[in-house]
Amino acid sequence: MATISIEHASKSFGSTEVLRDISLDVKDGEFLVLLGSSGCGKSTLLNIIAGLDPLADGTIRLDGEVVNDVHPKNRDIAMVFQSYALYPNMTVERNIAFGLEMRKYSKAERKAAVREVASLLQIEHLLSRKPSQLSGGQRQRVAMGRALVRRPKIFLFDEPLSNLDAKLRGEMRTEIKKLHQTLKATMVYVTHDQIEAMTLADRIAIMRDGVIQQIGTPQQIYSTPANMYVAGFVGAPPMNFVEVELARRKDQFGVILPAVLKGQPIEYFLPLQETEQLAGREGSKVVLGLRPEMITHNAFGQSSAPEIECDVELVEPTGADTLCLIRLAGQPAKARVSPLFACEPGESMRFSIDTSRICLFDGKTKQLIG
Amino acid sequence: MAEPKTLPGANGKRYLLGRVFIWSLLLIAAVLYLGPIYVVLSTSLKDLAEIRAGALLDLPHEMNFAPWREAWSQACIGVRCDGLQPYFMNSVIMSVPSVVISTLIGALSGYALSLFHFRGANIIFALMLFGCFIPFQIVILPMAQTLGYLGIANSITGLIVVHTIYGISFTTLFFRNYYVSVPQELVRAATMDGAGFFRIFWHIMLPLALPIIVVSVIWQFTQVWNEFLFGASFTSGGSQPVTVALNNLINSTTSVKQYNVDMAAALIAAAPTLVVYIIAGRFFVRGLTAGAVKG
Repeated sequence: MATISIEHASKSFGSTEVLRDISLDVKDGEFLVLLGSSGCGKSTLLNIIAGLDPLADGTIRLDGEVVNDVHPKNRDIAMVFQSYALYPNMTVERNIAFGLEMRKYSKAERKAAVREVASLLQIEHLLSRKPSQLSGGQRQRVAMGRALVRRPKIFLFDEPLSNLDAKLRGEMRTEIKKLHQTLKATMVYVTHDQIEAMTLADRIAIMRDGVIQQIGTPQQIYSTPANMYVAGFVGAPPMNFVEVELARRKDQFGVILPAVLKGQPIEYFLPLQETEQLAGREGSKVVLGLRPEMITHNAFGQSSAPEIECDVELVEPTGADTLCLIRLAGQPAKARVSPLFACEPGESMRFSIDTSRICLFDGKTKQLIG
Repeated sequence: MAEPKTLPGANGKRYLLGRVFIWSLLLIAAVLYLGPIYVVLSTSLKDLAEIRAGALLDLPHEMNFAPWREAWSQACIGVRCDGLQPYFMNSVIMSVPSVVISTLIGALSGYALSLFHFRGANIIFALMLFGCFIPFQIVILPMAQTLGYLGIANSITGLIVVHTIYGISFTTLFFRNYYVSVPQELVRAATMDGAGFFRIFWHIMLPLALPIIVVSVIWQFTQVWNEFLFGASFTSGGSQPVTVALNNLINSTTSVKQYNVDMAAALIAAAPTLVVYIIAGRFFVRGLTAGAVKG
């Protein structure tokens, strides 16, 4: 069992508030990712869980026990650092065993534990080397080994992959996920990379300016983002935001979507489900959130889906898909179409819009309203 | 990176001219520095008759080690005629603990000041730096009084205390500036691994600081060994360091001036610092932490 529970945590460095009244629960065996851009407080939160930074206000519990004043070494937590922080003067073997050495394990026990972890991470052949003789990926593995060898109940990762090249990062991501499946340990992982967050997490907590914006499964975060910040942060290319007006036509509730066809402005009407939150707001402005894959070639859309025809300004092939840059309500927007159907830039094309997954945000509060 | 030699125009006439200029400058500097050493060395190997004959720059007619033997174990300093030997040992007994203790304390305080951001760390560091700029002469009187209170006046122990205290400012400065470049995450990782303040210091930070330990040892040893003023002020007779004894040997006016013995004595007194430079300088390796952190 290893649960983490944080209640009303606040922390400031000098006059800057880094964490503002954060409450968060991590279940036993869960993989929680703290996602956010730099300076949002995610690393500080991790350090508070580790005990490396003291908490100014609030409580933190591990397995229900308040640990505000418990020393990091007594929390049974291991941490992997962004810079790996390997001890440069020690061999890989001693680096991995150092935590056990400090906890007075016998030499034989240490040796056995190191062997086991090394074979798990496939670094047996590196044990006698110094960190300076290792490549970035190997150092990363050693850093993981140092965390694993103690068999702690909680693992913390502070952007562990951000110093690796793209290919290695993908490989290590898969390995970390595998590791979590085998160990079934509670893990908290900090990153600014939304792909890492989406692929690894059981749940994601998106942070901004010391406040958690939303906590949810990757799917929840992706399809029902709580606000425009979350919606824009997750997904690549990001969600298109179009400012539109709510309207009613022939008894059908929807939005008016201005576009450009053959150089001329044209208005389309997208019918939408009239929810309680939206009722009676006709005539007011809202922000329409459309993911690129919701605007696709009409051959792929459902036959009942509304269609629009508009000019394509630019075409970006990515291999699997091609992104078409179109203009909706005066703002650039991206549509994701199959390379087979992509037109030339400057031509016009018919798109089908998946209105069932559309997000609507309040223009002022930026919160999701439908 | 491009090899400077393969750059276009690097092998022309101008290059040659530049080389000639540099080499001649270096040669002149070398002669200026080595000339006096040559004179001292060759004079120490001559006998008195040869010295009186003049010809300062000539090589000795034969290798005559008698002056060295006399300087080491027979020359009269004050009333004792045991040569420099006992005073040389005094200096060794004084220098080794002073160097070791001040280096260790400097390492510990530099580590604490740079990697543990406690309140007032910078003020404490600034005050310690102040110690580097206090001239010896200012502290002589209060120090003499302090040593008297402690009951270690006129003893080698007293000199060890004085030199250790005086050295801490410098060694702290060395280590603090070295540890400032060590990433904080190393301390955090070791903390998570269960190591405390002293174990992090002993297992990780001290081994990491080998280059700066060498610097600190060379600096402190040279300072302590060559120091004259404290030695002359706080000790007398049998507990004097070799620098004071050398002065007394050369300034004694009882008999004929034995230039060869004086020169040999000066070389003996200067030898240890040279040896430390030659030996320790080889371990002066840079970049032990290179690659420790990022890929």
